[in-house]
Amino acid sequence: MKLVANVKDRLVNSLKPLVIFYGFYLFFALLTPFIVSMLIAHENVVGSPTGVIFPSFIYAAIIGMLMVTLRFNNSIQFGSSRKTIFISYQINSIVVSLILAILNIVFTEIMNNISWLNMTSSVIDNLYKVNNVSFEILVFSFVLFLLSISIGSLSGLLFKRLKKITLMFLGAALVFIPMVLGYIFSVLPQSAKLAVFDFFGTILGLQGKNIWAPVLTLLVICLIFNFISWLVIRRQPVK
Amino acid sequence: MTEIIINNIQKNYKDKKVLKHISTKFEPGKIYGLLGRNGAGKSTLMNLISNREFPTSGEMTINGETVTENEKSQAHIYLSSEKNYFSKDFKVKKIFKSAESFYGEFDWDLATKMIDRFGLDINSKIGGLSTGYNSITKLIIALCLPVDFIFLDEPILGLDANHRDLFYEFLMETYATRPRTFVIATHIIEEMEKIFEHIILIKNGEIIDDGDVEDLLNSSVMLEGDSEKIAAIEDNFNVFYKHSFTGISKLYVKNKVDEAQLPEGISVNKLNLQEYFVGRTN
Repeated sequence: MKLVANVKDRLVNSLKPLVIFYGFYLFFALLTPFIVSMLIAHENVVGSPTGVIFPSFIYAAIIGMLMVTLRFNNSIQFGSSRKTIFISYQINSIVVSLILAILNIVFTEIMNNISWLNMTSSVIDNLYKVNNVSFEILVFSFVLFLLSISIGSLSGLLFKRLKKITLMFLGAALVFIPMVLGYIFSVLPQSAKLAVFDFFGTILGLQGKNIWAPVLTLLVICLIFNFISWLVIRRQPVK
Repeated sequence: MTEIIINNIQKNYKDKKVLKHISTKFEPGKIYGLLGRNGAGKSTLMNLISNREFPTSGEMTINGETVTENEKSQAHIYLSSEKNYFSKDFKVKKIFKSAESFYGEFDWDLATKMIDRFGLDINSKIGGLSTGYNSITKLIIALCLPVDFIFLDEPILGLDANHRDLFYEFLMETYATRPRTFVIATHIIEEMEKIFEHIILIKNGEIIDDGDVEDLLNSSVMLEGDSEKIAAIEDNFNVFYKHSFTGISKLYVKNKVDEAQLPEGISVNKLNLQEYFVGRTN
């Protein structure tokens, strides 16, 4: 009973912002180019090379953050365990990611068929030689949004649990670790560099233009983030 | 029999020991007063029982099952705390419906009666309510949920005298129709004394008294008289508090005293709960 109530509670709070987001997106992605092309430039304008996927990715992270920062205290107050709350996060993430992935496909298809939008292929479509309205893109988008929500959730949980000074060190580490890794990479022997390129090429499916490889990679990263989120939430006090 | 057993609970925040080896139990169908000075550990104990925080060590069980991270146990427990944990932009009506969806039941008859008598606007957002009406909203939720143990932390915060009387009325009414255990932490001891059956008194994280109100008050008396006369007999008694003012002293003692055996000018008075509390926690 608590799981159903938790899932319903979170879905309502996640789906409402989605309506607002797509309302804004429709305005800026469709109406603004229409106004520019028809009324000002009198020629077809180019749509976004990333389509709706990139702004949706950002917004999914925000939904993830809101999901874990709002209503946690309320759920505990009404007798839920942290395990149930965590499971409701996962169910909510899957449902929202699926909705985002489907809407992503729908909007892409709509925009492909609008005459005054001169749509180019997206980065993903070109990299993996897939149609931007296809089952592969649907699955890829779904996993991408799942990852985005898990990044947002973990960020939100850490922000709530960690002391501000610890957060500052963590933020600094996130900036400096890539720099350090980049320096280490630059001093590696050529064979090692090639091995690293091969590794990333394989897990991202770039060599064989295989989109299922990054799907699996993103899923693994998502599971890792979710596991860390569980470690953070399992002893989270109500404050 | 459903009772909550607290066994050797300890709670530390870094180096600070907030609760030290707390052991007690909450029996079914009783009204408990959980008393203590500010920072004594009352809210912490309630937070531990209601799964808001985790104990450092020790065990809390209901029907033999732990209450920590156990929804089956938590279904019997509800804590209405001083702090408001509901989203500020939620309307009161929505919060009641949310409570119903989490617990499966909500006594709408009692809620409607309370809403009407308190004059609560259920279409208001909880963030826009006064302190008093915030407390009233939380009280309605607590009394209308189908739980066996209701913990109320400072329930009458911000309530005016009329609303406090109403609260006592509804509390006793619901207690009579559906006997449950109420555990009330409050600083307004004088008013609530009349409804408490059992007192747990916490001082510096430890339980110093745990007994029926009548037994505790009958075990102690106040001796009052001239300071010099009081000082002369002080050593004969188990004194737990002394207060002197303008040549008159009051001695709170844990003894049964026969006034006839005392020097002239010293009177024996019964302590009320507030006086007992002040004496024991000073």
